[in-house]
Amino acid sequence: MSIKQELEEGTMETVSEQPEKRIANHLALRALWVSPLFLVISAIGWGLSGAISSLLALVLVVFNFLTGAAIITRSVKISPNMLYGSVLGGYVVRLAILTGVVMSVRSFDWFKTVPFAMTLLVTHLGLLATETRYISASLAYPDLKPTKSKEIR
Amino acid sequence: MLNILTLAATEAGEMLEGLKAIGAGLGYGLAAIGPGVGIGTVVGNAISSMARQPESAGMVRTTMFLGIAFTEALALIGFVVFILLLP
Repeated sequence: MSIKQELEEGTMETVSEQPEKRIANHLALRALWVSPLFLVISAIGWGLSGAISSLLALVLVVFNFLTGAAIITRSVKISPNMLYGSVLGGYVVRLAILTGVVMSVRSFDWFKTVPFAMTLLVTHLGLLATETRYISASLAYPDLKPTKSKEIR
Repeated sequence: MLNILTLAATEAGEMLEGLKAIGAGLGYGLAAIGPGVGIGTVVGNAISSMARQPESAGMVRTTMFLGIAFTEALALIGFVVFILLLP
């Protein structure tokens, strides 16, 4: 069976080529799951404004993870130098984007600092800490631990 | 006399706000240096590992991504302190 046939039939493992992308997608999915909790807590404490601020923080956290993974996936194909430069440059650019977004919305009435800050920190650290439970990091499965559907393959 | 005192108090208040903003900016900048060094170390060692053992590149990239994300949390803490300190 050729590689093309294997790819078409989905029998070949292709996900391991982009482990960081897979982890980032998993993190984004987890963030979607936990988002109602943060939105409800913020809505109870700070009303609709708090919920919107919390939502903004969630969007920024997910954007941060996905962009970081995309930068690594793209640059690792080019060269190690490119990887080094783009990861460090990406860090600065992502921080600049985060700062720019917050500085541009902080003057609005609906922006509440405390729920935003709380959601940003707790989601980022909490998601990462939870994600370590799902990481396999072995040669056979470099990203996530195998699921049942993957084992059948 | 009262006018002069009011003016002085207003200017002192404005100066305090300005100093707060400068302090917040300096704090954020200093807080971003540490994670920058940390990410540099993580990526540098990951590239070294990938060069030594190309077959373990996937595993190394996974660890590198998580290491970068954990290190970035420090910068986020600095950012949170920055927006809380801003007048």
